[in-house]
Amino acid sequence: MAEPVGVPPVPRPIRTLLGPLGISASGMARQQQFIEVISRNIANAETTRTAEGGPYRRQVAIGGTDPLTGAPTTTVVSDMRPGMQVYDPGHPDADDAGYVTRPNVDAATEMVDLMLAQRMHEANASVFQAAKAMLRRALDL
Amino acid sequence: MIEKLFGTGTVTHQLRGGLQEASATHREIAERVAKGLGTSSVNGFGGELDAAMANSEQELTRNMAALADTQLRYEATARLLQKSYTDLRTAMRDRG
Repeated sequence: MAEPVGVPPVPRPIRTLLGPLGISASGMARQQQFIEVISRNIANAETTRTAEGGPYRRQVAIGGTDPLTGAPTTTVVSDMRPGMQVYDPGHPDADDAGYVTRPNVDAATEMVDLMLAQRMHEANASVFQAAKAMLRRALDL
Repeated sequence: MIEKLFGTGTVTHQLRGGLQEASATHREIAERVAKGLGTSSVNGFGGELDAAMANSEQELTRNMAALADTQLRYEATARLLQKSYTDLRTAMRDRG
């Protein structure tokens, strides 16, 4: 809604104080989506057959901002690097030469990504707590 | 008279400005922390991964330090403002 012409904007102190809460909440939501993608990768680290055909492909979540609304967005893309070939002629998904293509998921990489996402989530939670404490302090005045 | 108690240049006015400034700083910190990592994965190994993690950690540490600083400054300003309002209340009540 546009501000009326010639009238100075009314200060919105409560909105200023509530702003960081919303920002931190969106940050936490993004990290939760990242953790969801990482846990999906770890859960499918042994999946050699998918509905799309072939082994599971590692997913990567990319955070962005909607240019129109400014709202945070998350896009999930597939990591197209090829998976490791393992010689296992007895495996039901082995090719004619006896090789099985494994998912391109590396458990160590996923764990590092998980730790980073967890740390960022904690940081957002700390900022949220600080904003809450500041809001409470302002209400006590 | 009232203007001299609450108007521009008074202690309460300055402290209110301080609180608003601390709130704005806190909002900026919240935005920086919320942006955080751009992706769920840090691609590549060795130097790239180490550099990305070091940058991320460094940035996070800086932001969290700034957060603690802002929070303390806000608390101190709020206490001073509360004291100032208490004094004003006392002056109005005990007018003889």
